[in-house]
Amino acid sequence: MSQHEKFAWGSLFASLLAWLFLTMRMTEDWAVVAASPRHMIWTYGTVVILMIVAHAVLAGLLHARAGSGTQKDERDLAIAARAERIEGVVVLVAVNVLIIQALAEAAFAGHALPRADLGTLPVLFYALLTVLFLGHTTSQAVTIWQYRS
Amino acid sequence: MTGPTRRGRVSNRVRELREAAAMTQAELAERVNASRQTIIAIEAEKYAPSLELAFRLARGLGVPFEEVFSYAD
Repeated sequence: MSQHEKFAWGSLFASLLAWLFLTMRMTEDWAVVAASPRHMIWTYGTVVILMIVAHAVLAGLLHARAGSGTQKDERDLAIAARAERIEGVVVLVAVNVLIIQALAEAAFAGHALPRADLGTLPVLFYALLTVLFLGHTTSQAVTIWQYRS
Repeated sequence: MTGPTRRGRVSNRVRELREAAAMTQAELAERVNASRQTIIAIEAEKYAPSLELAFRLARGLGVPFEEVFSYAD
């Protein structure tokens, strides 16, 4: 297994753990709680720091083990480029789903649509961060899949 | 076409020529400035190298380009 694939596995698990932390802080019984701005700022800061620390530790560990073997060659760059393209598509689709959801709720209030009140800050905060995590985990999963296929 | 997993009509004899030259994948990788995983993927024809890497491979194996790579019509 290449160092870049190991990094992708580590990054995937780190982002899933960070998203679980976010979900634990922001939801209760599968519904987003009415969190205060201070609570959300603290949560956001912790998630950002968790991700930075996790990726710095991963990079440090892999560099210590592999040394110059962590340098990307053209195949690694091609794999990273494809993963980023797919991540972009996933984020684009997810943001559009949120936009359509918000517009549909406003236009068809009272209808039997799945409810996700994006007009409230906690739901918007959780939804946007989830979209970012979805994009990142997709990118790492695609990277792993390409290395293994 | 260059790509991470594309199986095209470009075939290669990298493994055969490398083994004939008594070279390991790691040695060839170092010679052409690529990773061993990339050499493995090229030998398995899971990855089609760029033109530049293809020329470096031929040079690294000490044979003309057309002896390493061929294109099926």
